[in-house]
Amino acid sequence: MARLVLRRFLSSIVALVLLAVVVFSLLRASPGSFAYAALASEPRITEEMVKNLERQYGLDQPIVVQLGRFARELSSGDLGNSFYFRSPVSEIIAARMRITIELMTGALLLAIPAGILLGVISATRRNSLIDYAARGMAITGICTPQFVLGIIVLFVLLRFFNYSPPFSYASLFEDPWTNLQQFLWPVIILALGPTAAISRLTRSQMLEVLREDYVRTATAKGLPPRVVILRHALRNALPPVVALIASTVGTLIGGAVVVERLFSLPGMGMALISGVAYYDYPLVQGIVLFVGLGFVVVSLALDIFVGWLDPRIRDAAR
Amino acid sequence: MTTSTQAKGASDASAGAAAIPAARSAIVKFMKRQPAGTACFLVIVAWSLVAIFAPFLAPHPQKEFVGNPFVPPGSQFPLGTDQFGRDVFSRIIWGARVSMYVGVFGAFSGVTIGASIGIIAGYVRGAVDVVVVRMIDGLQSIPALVFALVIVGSFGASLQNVLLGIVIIYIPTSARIARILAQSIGSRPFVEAARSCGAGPFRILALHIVPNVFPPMLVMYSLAVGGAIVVEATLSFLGVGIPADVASWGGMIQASGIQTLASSWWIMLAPGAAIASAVYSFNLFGDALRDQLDPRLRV
Repeated sequence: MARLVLRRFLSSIVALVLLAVVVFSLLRASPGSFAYAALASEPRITEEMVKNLERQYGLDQPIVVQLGRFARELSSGDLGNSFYFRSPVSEIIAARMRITIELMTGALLLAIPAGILLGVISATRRNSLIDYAARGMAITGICTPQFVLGIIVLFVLLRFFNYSPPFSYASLFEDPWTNLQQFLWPVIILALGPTAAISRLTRSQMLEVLREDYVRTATAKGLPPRVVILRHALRNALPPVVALIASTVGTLIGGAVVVERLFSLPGMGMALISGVAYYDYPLVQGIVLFVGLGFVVVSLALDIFVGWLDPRIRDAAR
Repeated sequence: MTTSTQAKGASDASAGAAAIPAARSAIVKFMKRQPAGTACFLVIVAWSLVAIFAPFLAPHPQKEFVGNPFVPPGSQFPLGTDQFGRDVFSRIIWGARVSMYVGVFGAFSGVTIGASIGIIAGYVRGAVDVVVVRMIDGLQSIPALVFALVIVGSFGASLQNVLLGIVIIYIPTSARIARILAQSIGSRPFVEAARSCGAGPFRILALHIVPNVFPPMLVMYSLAVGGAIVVEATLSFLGVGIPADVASWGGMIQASGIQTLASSWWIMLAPGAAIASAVYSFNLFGDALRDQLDPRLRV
């Protein structure tokens, strides 16, 4: 187990370093617009101002020196200042991440139990009405783009129920009721895709496991069906599902950008969109690195969990 | 000269004649077993024709203000007009061009490049494989949509950069799948046999690995087109994709804003339906193709 953790930890670090290099190179791919974006609020932009700015950000130095400085700043947690918001990127992320995290946590808390439950029911009552309904929902959930789903939900709420979720953000701790109203629909929209994917995979995994000899043995020795399904079948069907959840976290971040925009929630996704729209490189860079870090940490944790669930994977790492 | 071309033409024709019944029976089999997949394929063909013949099909130019703003669907404008008085029906037809172009070319290039890298890494193994796997891990540690946002953000919002973003996000995913496939096929007995007969690596790759990796990758192509259409539409919806005056399905939804959704629903729901129908078709067709080619690949 320790070996598995170490291996995955080292490969996560390599992935993060690569990510930082990719982000660094993208930033340097268009240094001209970097300067113009930083000077966007100035009435007149002169050659000298651009030169000054490039010196200020060290863009006139050799690329290796720049990369070294970037690495140094990054390792001390300094993400620079946003051009657009005119404040440190780390502060912007700290202020906005809770909205995005609340959205994602809500969606996961909804999608994981719902998806597994639907998948298990689907598999144990194969070809029943509930199976068809779950499969139909799975296809719809996987195929429908989040923003299309979002406008449909908003349309139904607005037109037929004359209801609109409150659009000015309230924090969970200060005004829990408004906060709940605000996050309910975004979380449901965000959760549908992952629910669908999880239920589809749980179903196919369960169907495979239910055919195994040990499941028949467990039934034959008189265990109640609930115990057979939960303890014998589900535990063995779960490892690929947990692995799927890890990649789901990635799609959730993308989805969070969309629902934040749809429901005007000022989270990291909204910051990223304005960062991209205003060529605010430090902000975009900071958010991407932060998201990458979060994603890598979550996948690491889930991989370790899979290793705990399935001893075969643990042993394969030796 | 003339005779040789004639002979070549004749041999091509005979090879073609043999291939046609085989292809026909495969198609008939697919249609019989996958009626939903066939229906989806017809929708794909329909949208492709709409995209190709948009200038002849659209009643109005995409950027022209042809009527009053917010006219509901009726005899003059089948899907109403948007907030600037542009014909929604025409813009959906023009928008098909953007979606199909970005979807088909973006997915095709991304998957082809990714699959080539994956096949080589999976077959050659060793240091090349390690480097490729690390690159895939690094690229995949950013969510696809965020990556596309960053690329469009650093290079500017344009059709070409959206396409570039889509190509880049499909490279790691398809490389990962192709690598695993190439690895498993590379260790099969027939590859061993070919090697022992003295076949070089290029011959093995071209004649043994690639033909066997191709069918599952065909499925990947279809699913990737659906995904690419969603990425383009989402970027345009977020306002950082295709420039706003060019008709694109995602952009049409973004432009009108939530405030008008309840009263002027056609402006947003019509392009939404267009996106959903195209994406469903590519995804379900890909699923049907996978079931037909190799049901074991079903996830």
